[in-house]
Amino acid sequence: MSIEQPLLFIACFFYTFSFILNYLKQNQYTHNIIILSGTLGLLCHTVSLSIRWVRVGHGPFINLYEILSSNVWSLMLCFLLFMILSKQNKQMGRYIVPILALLMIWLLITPAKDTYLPPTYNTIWLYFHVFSGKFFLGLLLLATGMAIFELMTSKSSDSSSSIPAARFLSYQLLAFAFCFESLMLFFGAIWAQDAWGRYWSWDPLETWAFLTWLSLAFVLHLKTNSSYQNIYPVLVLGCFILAFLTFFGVPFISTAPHKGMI
Amino acid sequence: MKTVQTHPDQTQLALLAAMTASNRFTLVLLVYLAASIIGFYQLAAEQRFWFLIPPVLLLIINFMAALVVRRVMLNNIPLMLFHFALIMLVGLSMLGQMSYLKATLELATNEEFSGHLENVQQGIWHQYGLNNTRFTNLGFVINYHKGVKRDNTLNRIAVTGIDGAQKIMEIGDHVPLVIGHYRFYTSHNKGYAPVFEWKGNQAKQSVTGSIHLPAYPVHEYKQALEWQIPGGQQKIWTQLKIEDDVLPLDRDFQFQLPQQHRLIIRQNDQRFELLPGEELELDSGVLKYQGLSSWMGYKVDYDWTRPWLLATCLIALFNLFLHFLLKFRDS
Repeated sequence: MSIEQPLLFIACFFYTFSFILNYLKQNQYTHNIIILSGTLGLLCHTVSLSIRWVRVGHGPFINLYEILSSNVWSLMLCFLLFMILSKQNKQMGRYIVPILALLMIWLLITPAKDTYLPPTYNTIWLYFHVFSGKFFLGLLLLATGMAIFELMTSKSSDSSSSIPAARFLSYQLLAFAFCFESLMLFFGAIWAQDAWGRYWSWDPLETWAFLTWLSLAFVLHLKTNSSYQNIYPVLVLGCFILAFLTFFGVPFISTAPHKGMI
Repeated sequence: MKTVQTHPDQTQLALLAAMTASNRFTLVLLVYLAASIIGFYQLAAEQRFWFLIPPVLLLIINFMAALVVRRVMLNNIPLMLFHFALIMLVGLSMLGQMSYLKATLELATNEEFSGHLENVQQGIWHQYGLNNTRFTNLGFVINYHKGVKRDNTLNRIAVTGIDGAQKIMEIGDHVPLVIGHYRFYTSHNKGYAPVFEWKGNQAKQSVTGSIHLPAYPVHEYKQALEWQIPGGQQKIWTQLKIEDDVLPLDRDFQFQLPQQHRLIIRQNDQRFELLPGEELELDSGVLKYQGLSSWMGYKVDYDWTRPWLLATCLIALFNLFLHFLLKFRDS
């Protein structure tokens, strides 16, 4: 029996432990345990994904199970890097942990079916497309975490000093999420041209990815207008919901990410 | 105190210009564009394009007005170039939409492309440029993995140059034959092509040609076709009956012609079976089944704007990253 699945379960155990610790009172000790537990989970998950990659002969981005697994991995990586690099915002973790936990549970109840890489997917541009997409979603998740952190902090009385910093960090993350989504669309267009002889065809996934791009452009434009600053965190959350549905909803109306394009 | 009288029209014009250039108008137009995309998604493909033009044009006007009236981005070259690149992308896409061509093509093995395409869709400005293009399908190799999972397609072709010299090439899923801005890709459509020789009762010479049965293995159980004999009204229903196991489920294999097969021919109420080399006497002539060949389906597309789109995208992305890197450099 392959150790791929047991390793994934062990990874999820460490992730869960790390998630729970986010809701305890934060000090240096709990922070270090969160990082350690998350890192151990990530290591197990990396080995599990690598074994699968070698066994099936391609990266984890064909069916729902593979896409969920690789996204839990990449989002956890972004989350841990953020927790390590931005210690003053470690409270933010508790706001994005539910999203990660939701994806993790979804992954655990999804059948781990083996997949086959269609010839049209066998191109280097697919890897660029997927990796830029993962950067985009990771950055957007962190921007959303900071936006929710801002929303929650603004309701408490001892908050006023941390709000501008949280807003600015959220804006920075959102700006680079927009850059990486643009890159994702660009690489996706090259891949589509290479694979199917057209760079854009308004298939459901392309359409919703473009709508997500527009929603980010909307929020970035709104950020320059001082009249609407109060709704900024809500709109960032809206962008994330749209991106989440695009990543995990639209592709699975069919059995493949780009419906009918195998 | 001296007051300056302003003409009411000038005031209104200034107000209109300020509104057109405003950030608030940008936000409204972005929502309008998103709504158009959702709205036009329900429409047929040829109507969609026009639906997007009004919000995009208004966004361009909004950007230009913002540059002139509010003088935004004049000291932010990367952001300005990013926006101009987006406008360029829109312009190139419109030009591409006017001059594109999409079509399909099927060629039997050893058949030459005659310049004729099927299922053609094209923009109103497209000028067909393949009349003198000639290439021959020399056959293909497709490997399948266990469970009939297709691997890459390798298709050998011979391209005839202007001087008549032939050049052998291999094209496939990711490697097109490029002639001008026309790109020929192999498609997943391919199948069997029975080759016949037909000699009419009154004809001095026989005619040889093939029919393309439905794609294989997609239509594994529909390997039949009704076709018309050349120069007559007679219709013939032909079915390929494969007696080999050409689609083994339990191992890797290669697309191949079946060694053991026969053709079932129906004409009116009569039924015949033909093996390669056998003849059939019909009312109007003699039909000889020469043997089985294969056919390959191709996708053809034309879009001269593609290299320009690529360059414009690179400019847009470079300037977008540069803008935010410079903006957040100090923080």
